[in-house]
Amino acid sequence: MSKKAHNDVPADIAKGPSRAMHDLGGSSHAGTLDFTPHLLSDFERNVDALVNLLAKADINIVCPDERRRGIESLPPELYRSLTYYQRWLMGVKLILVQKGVLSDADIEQRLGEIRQRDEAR
Amino acid sequence: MMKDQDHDHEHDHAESESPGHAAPKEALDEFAQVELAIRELLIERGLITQAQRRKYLDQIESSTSMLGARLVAKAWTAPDFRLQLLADARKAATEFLGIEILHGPALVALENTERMHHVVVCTLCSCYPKALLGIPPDWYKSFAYRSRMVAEPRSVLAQFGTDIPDDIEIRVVDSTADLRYLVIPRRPTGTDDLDESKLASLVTRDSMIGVSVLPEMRD
Repeated sequence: MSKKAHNDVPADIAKGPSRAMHDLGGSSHAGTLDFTPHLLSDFERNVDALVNLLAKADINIVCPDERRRGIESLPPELYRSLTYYQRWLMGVKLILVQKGVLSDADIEQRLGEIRQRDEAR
Repeated sequence: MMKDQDHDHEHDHAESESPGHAAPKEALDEFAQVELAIRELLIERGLITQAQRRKYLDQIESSTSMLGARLVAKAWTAPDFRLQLLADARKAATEFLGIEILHGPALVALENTERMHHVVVCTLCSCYPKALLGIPPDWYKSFAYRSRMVAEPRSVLAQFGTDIPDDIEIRVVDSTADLRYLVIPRRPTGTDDLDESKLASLVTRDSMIGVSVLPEMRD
């Protein structure tokens, strides 16, 4: 999985308990900006579509504030290790389960089926 | 409700040309499998539809910063519109561009002047006026940009090759899920003869985030 410099952990965030992991403003960060142009992958587009459709006014299943709460509820180590769209996905999954839209069991069962289909190909 | 007939092509990627017989694609990674599982379940239960999904994917493929640029060029050329944009950007944008962003987060337009330069960041995540500027660039979402811009804006701007003179105050604004910002860059000198659409073509995405300024035009 490709990791970029933006997933480095600022030293004062890693040490101190005083800040949540996503509260990055003003923390010291040695990383330089990476200006490499980046076209969205299929996975990234699919997550973008999923998350934003769920927030659309006429669908309104996971609103932007809920989405953000989902991302901010991820375990800090997970938050730091995931790529941007992986965080979005795991955040929205958390909210869908919390709200009872889907259950973990539903998702696990479907994942099993998907893996079988993948292997059959 | 969309049912099983969707499945055969559903686990090909949406952008795949292949109608199903297909050279084998790489196996989906763990996260792509999770996305697919959630998507399939939501579609089967009628909570989202394949058509909505296609429409959204088409929109993000096509999105650019042109809508934001049109607002800026209009504000440069129409004093009344400039005031409307500064007073209520969401309303002005909705009316002028004919797009529906009234139900989205609040939008504030910030005008750069000879005394004040604005830069936008989202320290908590990546909030961004996507309807006007397209998909945010990677650096906007990076931990480095999010952490450093509020603390040392001039040195971060220097990485963009942007040098704001010391006598211009830099104001960094922090977006949230409920409030987005659009920077109105200063109109370059030497553009008095250009019409609105020509002006819009000069306005870059970065200048509307505030990480760059527009170059002077000379002849």
